[in-house]
Order: sequence, then structure tokens, then C-alpha cells
Amino acid sequence: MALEVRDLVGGYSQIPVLKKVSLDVQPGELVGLIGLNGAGKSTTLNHIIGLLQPFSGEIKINGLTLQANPNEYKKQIAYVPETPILYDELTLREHLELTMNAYGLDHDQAWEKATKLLKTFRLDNKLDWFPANFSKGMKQKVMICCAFMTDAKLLIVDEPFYGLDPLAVHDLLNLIEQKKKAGVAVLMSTHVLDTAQRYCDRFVLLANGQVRAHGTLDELRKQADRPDESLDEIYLGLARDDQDE
Amino acid sequence: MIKMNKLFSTRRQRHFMMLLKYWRLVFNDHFVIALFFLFGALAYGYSQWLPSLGPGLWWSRWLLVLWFVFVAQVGRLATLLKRPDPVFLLPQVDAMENYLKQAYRYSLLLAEIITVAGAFVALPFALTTEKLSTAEIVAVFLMAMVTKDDWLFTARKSISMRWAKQTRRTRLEYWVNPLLAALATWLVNPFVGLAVAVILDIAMRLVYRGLMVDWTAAVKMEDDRMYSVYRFFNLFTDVPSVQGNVKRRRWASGLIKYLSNGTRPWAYLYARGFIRNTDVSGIVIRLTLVGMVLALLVPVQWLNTVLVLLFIYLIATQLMPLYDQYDGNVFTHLYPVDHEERVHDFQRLLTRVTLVEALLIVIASLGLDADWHRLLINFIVAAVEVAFLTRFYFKVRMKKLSEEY
Repeated sequence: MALEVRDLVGGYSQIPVLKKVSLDVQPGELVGLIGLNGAGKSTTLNHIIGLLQPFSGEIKINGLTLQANPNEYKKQIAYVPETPILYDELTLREHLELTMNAYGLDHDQAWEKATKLLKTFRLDNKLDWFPANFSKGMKQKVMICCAFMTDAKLLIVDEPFYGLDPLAVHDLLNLIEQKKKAGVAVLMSTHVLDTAQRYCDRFVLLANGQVRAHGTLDELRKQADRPDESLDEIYLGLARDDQDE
Repeated sequence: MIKMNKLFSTRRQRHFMMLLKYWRLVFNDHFVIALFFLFGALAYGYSQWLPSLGPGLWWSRWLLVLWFVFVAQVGRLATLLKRPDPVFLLPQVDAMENYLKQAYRYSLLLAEIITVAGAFVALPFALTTEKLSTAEIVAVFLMAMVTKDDWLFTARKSISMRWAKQTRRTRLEYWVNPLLAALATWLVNPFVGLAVAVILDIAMRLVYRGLMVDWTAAVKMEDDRMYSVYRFFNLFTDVPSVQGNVKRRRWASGLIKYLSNGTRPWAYLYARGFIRNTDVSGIVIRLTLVGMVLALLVPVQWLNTVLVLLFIYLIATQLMPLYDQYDGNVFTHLYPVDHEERVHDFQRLLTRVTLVEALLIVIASLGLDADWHRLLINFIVAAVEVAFLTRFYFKVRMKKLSEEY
């Protein structure tokens, strides 16, 4: 199992946002983390990447924990954040080089991969620009290039579609598909549900910091007793039920 | 709910609390001791300089004119407006008028205190080089105060719909009005100077009417003012909103190479951050230049050595905040790199930069009289200090920083 989260309780301050969240992602699998604003998607991801300390519960990546093997654990992860985060002082080329240095990648091999990615996203002629001055969509593409260039076994992608043009969304989905084929586990949070429905293998539905439902689309349909409905309708149904309670 | 007529006083209170928080940090810092020393040295120099002056120097009046024109520039219009105000307060046209009046009074009070202090500093010099009666001294003070009011009014009208576009004219008035009053004061006599200042002040108010606020200009002015306030505090402590600009500086790629360390990610990042961020490298360069000039010009052995030590210390302390400059960036937490490697890489950069700056200052301390003896003493003392700062003091600082979180 690539990623294993067991009974995770956590949050930013003393008050837990997540209440016993459990989920897992297998190698070569794309799992969609679905939820409304404030449901706990990003909080869950922040715990997995090690930015937040769990109050209780356990997170394992390929059997490793952050506490026991911090560096090995971090090597397993590549992360695309919700809003692009860049260094003001580094050019696009230097962002890529820094990532290679940080993950200890072989420069020749990594550049080969990076060049392909840059071409895909039409950034290959902007290597000496400062991405801090790029548009939101282009910044997001830089984040994607940095993350997809690594050999990480687990890819964490937080709301990747926002700000990307339709062509880039399509390219990103292709890249994720390639990563899956290479045996990488992908956890992606989103509320673009129709895209999620088409591409994700399984779903974890979060509401109020708890896993409301999980499984494949068919399993979700069965659980919700809505056999022909789309993910969108199932999720809206569940969310409304929660509000009524 | 905050009533509109209370808005300014609530904001002023909050502003005070914010300033208080930063001042507390300023006085906790060793840096401030160094500054006190510098001020002490300046005051000492001033008192030593006065007796050597006789009456009838051709430049003394021009120096006074210059001083009073500069003093008039200190103390800005603090409106305490915030970025969201144009959206949230858009319908409050009348209330804004009142708000800005309160802001004006508050700014005037602070600015006049500074003006009086500035005039006091010039007083011993003026009394040494000029014969002034008590009435004339009073007239000088009043002239400075009226000129400051004129200056602030210029700032006020520059953020109004009708006059905001005339930025060049405003800039000219900032300098020319005080210049006219100061020229009349020192070249004719203080009473004429006072009269000129009063006439200018009244004329400005007669010419510029219709001061409905221009939101874009007003918010920008306040943003700029707050930025310079934060920049000042940033000398002592970390202010999150001060980041500085970035310049590519291709010519410095050799330096970047000297400061990097193979493929180590933190050294890679720190080297580029230091060279390209104008905030960090700017202050280090300025301090080095000032230190070099002082080391070159001060012939007194002990004072020279103390100044060399002081400036090396200042440079090292101004570099330290670079250590956690990137903590706001998630990726620095995700890199699979040991904490020790980061500390080591920063220490390396700190040592290399401080060493180069220290060498430059020590070489400058050879002085105009080419005193090799002084150079040698400074060299030895500086070497010991650099070792102390980059090994021991750095560790203490890091410990203090990590305890703050």
C-alpha cells in the first residue's frame, strides 16, 4: 500500500478539524478527495505531506513514517499545492535545479524529463524568467513541472484545475495517467466533480472532517441508493443530508 | 459596530498597539545598542566641531537653509487607510471628510514635535555662527512649524480627486515652499521668513479647494508610508510584509557560485536569495560602504577599531534573518534534507559574506595616512570577531529564533 492513513485526528490549532480520517491509496491508483469548502481536504493533505503534526492516528507512505524516517518519507512525496508557491529570487530554470538538488536527482535524467514537461506546457522558452511574475495558470504549470519531474512514489495534488486553461487540464490528466502506469499512487483533492468522476479510480468523500463515504463510483451509488446518478448528484445528496441533520 | 466618527480613533489605537509591539522588539535587540553608540559618536563629533567654527563663514547660512528644508520633509501624513477601504467605505463621502480631518490633526501633532526637535538640533550651530535675539529664535521655530503645516497640507491635497494627478507639482511644492521660507529666514531675517511661511500656507489653502478623497492615491500613499515604517522595523526584527524587490544581477553569477555549495539545495537557495533580494544585499552593501568610509576617515586608533568591530557586527546581524526567510514556503519543509545541512549551509554563507565585508572595511582602515600598524590591529581583531559571530553568536541567535516558534 502506497499511502495509508489510519484514524487521523488533526488540525491547525487545538481544535481538531479532522476526526478519525482513514483512507488509503494503492500504487498506480488515482484517488479523488472530494468535499465542500472547509470539509478538511487541504488539512488532510497538509498532514500527509508532514506540514502538520497529527494529534493522534498514523500516516504511512510505503511503510515509512515521518517520525522514524523523515528524509526517506519526504523523498516519497511530490506535491502540487492549491495556490502556486514560488521563490521570488529564483528563475524557472533555478526552480527546477533546486528541486533536483533537494531530491538528489541525477541532473541529466531529470533535465530530460523536465524539458518534456516544459514543452508540454509551453514554458520551454521561459527558462530564464522569474516565475513569480507569471500568471496564475503559468505558475501552476511550474508547480506541476517541479512535482512531476521527481521520482516520487506518491503524488499529492491539491485542487489542480483551478486557473489552468482547458488544454493544460487535458495535459495534466494525461500526465497523471502516465504516472499511474509507472506505479505512482496519486491523491487528488478537487471539487470539479465531473472531471473527477471520469478520471479517478476511487473516491473519498469528506464532510465536516469525517469520511462520509468511500469507494468506486459503483460502490458509492450503492451506498447512497442512487443507482444511475453522477458523482455530482450523489455528493450533493450527501452534503444536503448532512446539512439537514 | 464601529461608528464612522470613531473609526479613526480605533484605528489610531490599533496602530499604536502595533508600533508598541515592534518598539518592544527594537529595544530588545542588540542592534539598538550599536545605534545608540553611533548617535553618541555623532553628538560627540557635533560638540567637538562647533568650537572650531568662527563667525562669518560663507557656507553656514546655506547649511541652515538646507537643514530646515530637510527637516520639513520629515513626518508624513498618516491617514491609516487600508486597502479594502475604497470598497467598504465607498458610500461614506461626508464621514471620510471628517476622518481625514482627524488624521490630519494627528499627523500634524507628531510632525510638529519632530520639527521642533530638528530645529533644536540646529540651534547650537545657528547661535555659534549667527547673532540671534530671543524673538528671532522664536520666529525661526514658528517658521519651521508653519512650514511643516504647509507641507502636510500639500500631502493632504495630493490625495484629493481634483489635485492627485499633478504629482510633479506636488513634489515641487514639497521642496520649494520650505526652501522659500528657509531662504527668507536665513538670508533676510527670521521675521520675514515667518511671514513668507504664513503667506505660503494661507495661499496653498486658498488655491487648493475641493479636497474630496482620491481613493487610489490615498491608499497608495498610506501603503508607501507603512512600507517605510515596516522597513525601519525590519532592520531590527522580521516584519512579514517587507520582502524587498528582486533583481537578476547577472553580473553577480560569479559571487553566487562562490556562495553556493555544489548541489546542496539550501546553499543554492541562500546564495541566490542573498544576492538578488535587494532588501538583504542592499543593507549589507550600504553598511559596508558607510563602514569603509568611517574606517578610512577616523584617525583615532581606538575609535577606528571600535567602528570596524561595530560595522562587522551590524552586517552579520542584518544577515541573520535570511536564515528563516523561506519558512513561509511549504516546499522548504518538504525537501528531504536534514536540518543540520540547512544550518551548516547558512553558516557557510554567513561566514563567507561577513569575511569579505570585514576584509573590505579593514583594508579601508589603512586610512588616508596609510597607517599599517592600525591595519594590522584591525585585521587581527576583525578576524577574531568574525569567528565569534559566525560560530558562537549565530548559534545563540538560532536558539533564540527557534524558541520564538
